[in-house]
Amino acid sequence: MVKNQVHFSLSSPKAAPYVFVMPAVLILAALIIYPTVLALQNSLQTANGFGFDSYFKIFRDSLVWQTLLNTCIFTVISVIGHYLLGLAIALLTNDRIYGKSFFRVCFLIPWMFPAVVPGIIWRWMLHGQFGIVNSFLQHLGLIDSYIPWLASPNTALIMVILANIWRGFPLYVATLLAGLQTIPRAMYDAAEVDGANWFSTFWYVTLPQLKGVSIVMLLTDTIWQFNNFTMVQTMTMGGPGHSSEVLPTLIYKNAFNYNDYALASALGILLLLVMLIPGFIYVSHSLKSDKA
Amino acid sequence: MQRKKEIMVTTLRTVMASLLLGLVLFPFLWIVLTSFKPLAEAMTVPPKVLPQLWTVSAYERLFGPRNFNIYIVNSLIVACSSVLLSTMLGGWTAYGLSRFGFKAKPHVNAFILICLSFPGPLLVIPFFQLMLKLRLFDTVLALILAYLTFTLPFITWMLKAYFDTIPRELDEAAIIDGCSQYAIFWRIILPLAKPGYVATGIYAFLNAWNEYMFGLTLTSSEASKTLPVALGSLLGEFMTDWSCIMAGAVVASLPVIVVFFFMQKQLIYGLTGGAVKG
Repeated sequence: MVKNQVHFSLSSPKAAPYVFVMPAVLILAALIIYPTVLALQNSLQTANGFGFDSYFKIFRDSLVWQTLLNTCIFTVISVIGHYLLGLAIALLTNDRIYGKSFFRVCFLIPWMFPAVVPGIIWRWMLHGQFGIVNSFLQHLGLIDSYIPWLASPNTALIMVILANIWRGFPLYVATLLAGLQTIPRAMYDAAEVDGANWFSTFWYVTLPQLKGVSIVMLLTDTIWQFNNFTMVQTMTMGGPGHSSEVLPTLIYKNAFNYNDYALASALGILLLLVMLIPGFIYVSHSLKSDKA
Repeated sequence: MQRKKEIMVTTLRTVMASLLLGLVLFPFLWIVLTSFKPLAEAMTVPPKVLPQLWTVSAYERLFGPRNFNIYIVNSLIVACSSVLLSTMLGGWTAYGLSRFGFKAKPHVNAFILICLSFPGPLLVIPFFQLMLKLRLFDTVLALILAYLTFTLPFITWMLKAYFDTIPRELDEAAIIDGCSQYAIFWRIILPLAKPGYVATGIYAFLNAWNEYMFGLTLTSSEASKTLPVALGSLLGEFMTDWSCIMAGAVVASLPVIVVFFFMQKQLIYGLTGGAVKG
């Protein structure tokens, strides 16, 4: 006993968990908390000392509100698109299909690309002059003249969202397939005995059973898409004008094109505040399911 | 009758899936085809599907004047280092979170999850300033540190989930044999958790290999630019060399897709391990 007290040893049962946990916690605090404090400090920096000038500025700026709206549109449509397409393909490849594992693997490919590649691919395919999409649509007789999809303020944001859906849905295929496989066969047999049709089986058996996976995926994805910088930056850089601007690209512009770190940091804090809602739900949900 | 109907349905589903897959993979096929066209041919209206003249000149430009080999090496160094560091640190922490009950545990769990969902665009500016101050701006070390912000919490959380699946009876037996907690980690958990390490490691590697924002803001010269950043910078040029960009996109994607095909089982675990549990 005495011996243990003398050298408060690292192998004492009380110390051991902290020895394990501390290194990563300290490093993450240094890499995430400290920079956040710096950003906060930046955002309060004014020409003559400290103040809320940057915050007043962003709240009075209609561009910021437009950008916030764009970010929400981008996030919501992307997440819904990811989910619907992912679910459809997961259901399609879950049973009664030839080459099941081939399809399952190949549908994941768009998600493997380095983040800039989807932007590059779609920028090329949607090119106003040389793009295959225009030529394809003209062949089908759907358009008379070529449309500069990414250079027109009416279509830029929606095209970026479509490309983003193309990139992001595969993760849902993987997770929802894994979820589908945990549903007991007996539940479907029971539904069949009850004479349930395809739709009610889907609605009353499949969907409720996928609830857990779906919630986690939708929350994580919402957080990701809110922070999605690469897709917009590589396809339109927020343009033309600011028609496809999202918060991450606006932060980048203010910091690295205009060197206005105070304003950019204030926008960063705004992003953090918006993210608190899905972030809080995500953290509490994950902690709860971790205990169970 | 029943049998025949079943075959019909299966065939129909397969056809539908094939059509969808064709649609989904067409963009990739398109960049591969463009990358083998001479520049002039890539920019014809309307575009021809197959190259009239197959050529690897775009790839020659990429690895010759464009120096893409340097960026590949940079990307490899950054991704491998941050993933190795994260697996070592993250595994150690994950063991602590998986095996002990202690007072601060809920807080540590919450902290890791907060880090996991933290907005990167907020971190970019302070990182840029810090790296300038530390004279690390435009070095691979700056990127390795920046990438830890997403690889470390991810790996910690995933490995914790993996360790939770390893029966505690093994630990208890080892304690009776006189093993310390540290020895249990090294001798029992680590060897048993190898598949978990591989799965989360590959997944984190892909994320690091694919990262763009930190790479863009924390580097400026060839010595530290990563592959995605170099590719992105081709886009901004006045005269865009589309075949060359497409060749770059193919080069950046191929290793990932090859790794994916060889390790799909592990990788799908890495993709789904965290989410399915919920």
